[in-house]
Amino acid sequence: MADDNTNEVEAKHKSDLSPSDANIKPQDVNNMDEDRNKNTLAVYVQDTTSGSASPNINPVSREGTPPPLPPRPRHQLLEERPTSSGTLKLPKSGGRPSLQSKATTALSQQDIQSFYNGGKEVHSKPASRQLSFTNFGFGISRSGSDADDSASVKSFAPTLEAGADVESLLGEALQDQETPAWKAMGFRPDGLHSEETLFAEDPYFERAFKHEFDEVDEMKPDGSNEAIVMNQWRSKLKHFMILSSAGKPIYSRHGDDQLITNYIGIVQTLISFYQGAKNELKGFTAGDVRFVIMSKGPLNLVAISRLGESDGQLRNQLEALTRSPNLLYGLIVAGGRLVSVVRPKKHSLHPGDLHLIFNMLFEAGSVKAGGGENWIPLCLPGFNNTGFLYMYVSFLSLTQSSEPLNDRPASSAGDEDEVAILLISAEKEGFHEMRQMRDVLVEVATV
Amino acid sequence: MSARMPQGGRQGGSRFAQFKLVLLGESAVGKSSLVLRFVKDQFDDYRESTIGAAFLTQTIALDESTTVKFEIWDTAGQERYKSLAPMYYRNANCAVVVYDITQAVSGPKPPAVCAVTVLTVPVVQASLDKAKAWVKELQRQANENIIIALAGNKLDLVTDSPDKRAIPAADAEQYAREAGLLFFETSAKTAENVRELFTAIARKLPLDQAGPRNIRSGVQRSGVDLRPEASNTQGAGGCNC
Repeated sequence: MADDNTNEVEAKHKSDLSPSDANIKPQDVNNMDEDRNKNTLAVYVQDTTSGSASPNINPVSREGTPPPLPPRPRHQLLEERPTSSGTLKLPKSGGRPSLQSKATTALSQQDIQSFYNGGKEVHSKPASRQLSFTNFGFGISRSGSDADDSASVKSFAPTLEAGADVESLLGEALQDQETPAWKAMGFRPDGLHSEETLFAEDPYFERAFKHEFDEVDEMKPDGSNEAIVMNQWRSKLKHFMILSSAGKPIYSRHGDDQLITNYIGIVQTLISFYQGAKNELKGFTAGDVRFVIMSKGPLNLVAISRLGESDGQLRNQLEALTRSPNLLYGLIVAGGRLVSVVRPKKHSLHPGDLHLIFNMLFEAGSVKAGGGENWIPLCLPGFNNTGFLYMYVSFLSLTQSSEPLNDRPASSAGDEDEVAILLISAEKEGFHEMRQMRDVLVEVATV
Repeated sequence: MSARMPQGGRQGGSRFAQFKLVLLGESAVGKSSLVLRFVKDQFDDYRESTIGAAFLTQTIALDESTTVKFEIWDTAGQERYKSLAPMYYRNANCAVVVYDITQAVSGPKPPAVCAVTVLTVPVVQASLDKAKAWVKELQRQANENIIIALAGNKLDLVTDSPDKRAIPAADAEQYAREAGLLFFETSAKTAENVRELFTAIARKLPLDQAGPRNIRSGVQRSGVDLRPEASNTQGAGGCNC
């Protein structure tokens, strides 16, 4: 299925391009495809919000029985991703006269920008690598938050808002490529018609990006591999750290406590220096690395990125890292299929449990037909067969997604436009918190 | 569901207040149907049993300057959910206890989906008796000033064929008077007395004591509260991790 679609995309692209490009050499197509796969990481999460299946749940939808979830999303997740739905949205917006306008509607703005900047980078020599990274950054942040268990249900928050950012930044330019804005950026429209330059190679980035989601090796007790581990750690393009206001490490995207202690120390020193001066440190740049610091109650959150994201974007990503301790699992279900899961690192969602939840939601009509929000005690035996959890359920209507679903009759399971947000908590009294979380989620998703 | 007081306020002479309302009663007496009629003005001839509880809101205007918002907890009536009820009626400002006026002796069987449940229901109870038990429990354990309304539902069945009535309105009314409850016979199907029921509750609620309206402020919405929780909020389910 994925292959078919990819081919379709190819075909579409060819036909959309100018005649001179119609006969592209096979290996070019491949290259392009590879490159686009990277770019389309950004599309990936958006797809989930708009209800189409995403790669890690494809098996569910195909066979009806959820397979065991992968133990931990790692590098292979990244590898898998491009094989399927990343580009699925593309062919659906047929009848576009050119690649540009097509991308505007079919893909997220970020992708367009990355396509363009890809072109731009080649044509205007002075363009820095950082610029192209900007766009890849969107992809990374999305996939990062998606691949990382500890990411919040609000994973899309940063990226979708980032999308809005880009739009406001380039809104006009995207509609009309001849605007001064594009010219000022050195953009040359004709560059787009060359396949080879559309997705420019950047070996350094390629390499670093490829390993971005690899786990940093464990430090051996005797410290013999310290240098290797440190190198791995340093080569990461993006870091997130959470530390307490007293400087205790709480979370790090890469590496364990031992590895990051020194860095946490430095960060803590910097933060407290400025706090002492009653002039809070918000961010700084060192070389091509941007540091953004956010204080949140007793926590300090730090984002360190070489991906050229804006402070606002990094801040949003940090925001997404702080997940309520009361939230155990967060699920988004669309058309009777699991679209997105947030879960603790230590617990995967047991297939049997997932089945149970789906049965409850889609086979018994009462939850769906109730028209409100539900707070349901349930036991997930795969998780813990001796206790209860509480599940918050809210069905959303896609047509006016800011409003909870109003008058949907109890219909058969798997209605395509049924999107439900499920938030599972061990906290009996957690309803209002989960409800707020839903509100934030919906708000963000509809921005 | 932590301590949430009625929210309300005055803006230029207009009053707004928000109250938590809980529906209780035997299974299949029509709690969900009443709510659906009140909130969405809809009725389903066939409804499956509620699982857990559903949460809905509805705002009504009492007069030109007074608006009341109900946060409604529609609980599951099945016996197996009984132990959850306190979670929903705690801090409730008002309650609607529903019974089925056509049902004197035995409760109706829940839908076939819940065949197992039928076997586990220990006592088959007339729904009015069950309602009285709920009233007692509320008066003993819920908010001291909770306003309770007794609603005899399925009035449409009796209107069509009076011999279906199993509980005389006078009996229920007398009980309601003695227990200090509001009383209505309602029909979720025809909407008879449904709005009247909720309006009567709203009128009886202490609008003037409502505190300033401070919920849904930007601060609360912006994300996760990182302040340390009160230690007593830990749930009973042993799955905290």
